[in-house]
Amino acid sequence: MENIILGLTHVLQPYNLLICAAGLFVGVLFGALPGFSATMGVAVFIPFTYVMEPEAAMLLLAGIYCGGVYGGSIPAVLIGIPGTPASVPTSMEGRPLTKRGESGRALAMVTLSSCTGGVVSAFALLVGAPLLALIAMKVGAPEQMMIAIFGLSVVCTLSFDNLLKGLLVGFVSLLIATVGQDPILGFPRFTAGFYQLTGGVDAVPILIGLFSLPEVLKMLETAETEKGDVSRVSKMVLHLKDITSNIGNFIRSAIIGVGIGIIPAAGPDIASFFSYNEARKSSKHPEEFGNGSMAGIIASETANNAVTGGSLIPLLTLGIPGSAPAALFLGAMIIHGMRPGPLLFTQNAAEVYTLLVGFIVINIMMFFVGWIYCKASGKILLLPKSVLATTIVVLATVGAFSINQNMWDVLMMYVAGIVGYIMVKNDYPLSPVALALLLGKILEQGLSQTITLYSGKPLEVLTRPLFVVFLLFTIFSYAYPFIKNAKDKKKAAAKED
Amino acid sequence: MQRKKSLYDILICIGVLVFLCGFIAQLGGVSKESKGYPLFLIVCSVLLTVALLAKSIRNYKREEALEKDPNFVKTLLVIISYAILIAAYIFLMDKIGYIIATLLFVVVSLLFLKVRSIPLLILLPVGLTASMYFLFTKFLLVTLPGAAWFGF
Repeated sequence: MENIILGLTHVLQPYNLLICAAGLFVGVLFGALPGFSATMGVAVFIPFTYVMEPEAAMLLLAGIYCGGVYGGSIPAVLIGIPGTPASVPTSMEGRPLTKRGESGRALAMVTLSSCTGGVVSAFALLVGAPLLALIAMKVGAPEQMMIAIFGLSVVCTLSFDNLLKGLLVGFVSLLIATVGQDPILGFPRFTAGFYQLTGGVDAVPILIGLFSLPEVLKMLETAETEKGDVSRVSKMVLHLKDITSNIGNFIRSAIIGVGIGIIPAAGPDIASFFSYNEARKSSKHPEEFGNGSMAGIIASETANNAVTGGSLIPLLTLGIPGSAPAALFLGAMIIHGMRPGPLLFTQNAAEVYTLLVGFIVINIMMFFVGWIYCKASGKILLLPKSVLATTIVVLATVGAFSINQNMWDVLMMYVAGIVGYIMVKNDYPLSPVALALLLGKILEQGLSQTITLYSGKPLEVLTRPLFVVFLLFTIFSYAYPFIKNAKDKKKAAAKED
Repeated sequence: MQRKKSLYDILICIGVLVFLCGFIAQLGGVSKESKGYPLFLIVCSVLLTVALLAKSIRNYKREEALEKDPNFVKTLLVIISYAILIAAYIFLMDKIGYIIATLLFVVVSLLFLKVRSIPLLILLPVGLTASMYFLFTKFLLVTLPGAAWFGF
């Protein structure tokens, strides 16, 4: 308790509060720009922290991290282009709301959900870190493989109305994810002679293209109407009913986010899809999903921000960086004389508790910083289509280039955009592409390591309790849409009788 | 051949099959140890594509032709032209550099989208190009493409 109060006094110093706010402003910008991410933001700003006190440095990076995860949702809602892959489900719900003139309501809910997820994860980090770290210790290759298979079940739920097309897109995208070095011997595979493909297909430029260019080309179809889809920015108001009817959704999504966060290699993108899928399954109005569902936004945003605190748990308690941002935090901590691990909480109590309490404060501040960003960026809806389309193309091109600073990524973005437009026009879902590209590599790596570990004794994998839990979840997740469909048909038949 | 919704699915399925043939052709060069997983994905993808193709052919025979849209060709031409314009922008970016390519693209794009306001045709290209340049190069430390044709 003493340490928490010590951390609180450090965080509440005006200079540190200013640093938190600065981190958030920078982070949201990084998240909102296509091609940039929270991880890149943290990486870019580590050198700036050299001259800072350790506490301020940690707070700045935490602010950038949390803001970066949140920021991707603003363009996702306003123009349908997710700033980061974690905002893809948000764009699926936010964009229809914007088209209906409810962008303000959507952005307000995005901001509230993100803060809620962030605050819950911050409390998990502060209170339950040692206990949750034990779970992280039990996660190995078989569990990671099962999580990836579980994640892919989202394809079934999201495209149940058009399962054949959804599955086809999912499988072909998984195949595309195998391009590059194979995980066993490291030889290049399916590169068709292009050396640029040796490192694999980068998901980010593809997702930028897939979610931005189709929007631009769709704008051209109705170019006669000069104004955007909505010529008015709606007020940022929250309906009490949206919150009260989604309490369970908030709690479930936050738990999913923290849980995914502590699992190595799983990030906010996977959490947001998981949570979105679970929200859709348990919703009384699943038909609203894809047409502007508040429950979908809450699920996606709460979960992806809940990952932030969760992802730092294995790092702070065990010294294991389970994600890219956590690895960067590790680097920054070492630079500032901290050594993550079991002794961190006693040897560097002041710094670490400042970070832990700072996480809570940052996530609360994010509500206000986010509100300012949403208000300012909402004006984008007033732009004529000609200006908006042109700006999106420039932003997508420069964003794709900036990932690895090469034109190959821009080319991939362009090809993905054209393919995406053809897919959209012919009712092929885009979200399985995102899922498969993000999970494909984890799946293959986990699979090959599991096969090596349990070759000749495959049933022994069932002695791993977490594996069995994930297996049961997976079976349920794949079977659920079919069971529900059969039940609905039975109900409909009974009504007719 | 009549224009029907399923016709596009048939064409897409054929395209996907050709794409999958590219993977199948390269399978020989993949080591035995790392062939199993992609092979499984290829088999599943082929089966799903064939199933969708069969379904689309069945639907094509049953369904009625789409209503004639007088603007269909015009819209298609607009979209193809704009896609070519974006391709040209990407091609030129590392040939004439980010600044000139973006200035040119924004002006041509606005003219293509029927913007005739002179202030907008001047302010947007300059403002957008400059703001992106400063944001990415000065703030985010990204080196944007130089002009290879001009030797820098």
